[in-house]
Amino acid sequence: MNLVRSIISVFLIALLGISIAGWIWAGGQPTPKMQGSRVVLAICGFASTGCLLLLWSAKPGRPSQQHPSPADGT
Amino acid sequence: MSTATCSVPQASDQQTWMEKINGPYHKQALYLYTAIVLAHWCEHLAQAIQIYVLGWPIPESRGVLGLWFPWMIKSELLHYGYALVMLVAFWILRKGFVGQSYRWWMLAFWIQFWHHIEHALLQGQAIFRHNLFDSPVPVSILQLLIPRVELHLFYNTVVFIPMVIAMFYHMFPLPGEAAHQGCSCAWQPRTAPATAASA
Repeated sequence: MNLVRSIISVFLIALLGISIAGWIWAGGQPTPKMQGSRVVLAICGFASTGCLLLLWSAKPGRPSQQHPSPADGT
Repeated sequence: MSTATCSVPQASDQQTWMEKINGPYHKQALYLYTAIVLAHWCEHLAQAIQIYVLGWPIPESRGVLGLWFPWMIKSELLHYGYALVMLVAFWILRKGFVGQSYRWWMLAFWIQFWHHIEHALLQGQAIFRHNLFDSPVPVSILQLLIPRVELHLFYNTVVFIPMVIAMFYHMFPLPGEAAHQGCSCAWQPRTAPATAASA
């Protein structure tokens, strides 16, 4: 299972890196496109970070102590 | 979680294929589905690296397979087909989830439903050869505000994140939820060094 978490983590880290690179790249775009791009890239970056932290918050055999629900928003 | 609350269920002839895929074969089905989703992610991430890091022009940034098969990135039918496959897989595999994991899984399903509508709009414009909003290329609703590459990176993120959270709560069920899972997806505790290698 750690393998599964590790593989998914690689993708989440890559997504975070891409979001940062995209944020920088979008700075060179025309203003309306830049704003739209940066908003969604920021969401991608924060969401990937939060998911990464959650993914590694649990230990085998121990129930998770965090109980976020979809209503809390991601 | 103890092994007593999560014994590995066995397939029986009385079970329908839906019951099997959400029961004894749920883990294998999720592995397969996750592999497909991650392969698709590879293409989007590769395309983003080509644009943001390598500085390639957007039309030349076609991911990995698109470099050898350029038609793939231009085919609205392929994009729509994949969105539909994801949607169907979310629906088919939903019954294996319970409680918190079910709520996150269905959130991913509904976001993917909207994503699929957006691709249906693009596919419709390709079929009827008439683009919305007098655009020179097929456009979706949110594409009016956000460029296509970033928009679909975003769509894939907001579908993938709840999907991962659902699988997290499926692997680590909340107290009381494990007993209701009819599959073997929940993580078994490492009780002895001899079993550690199989985890």
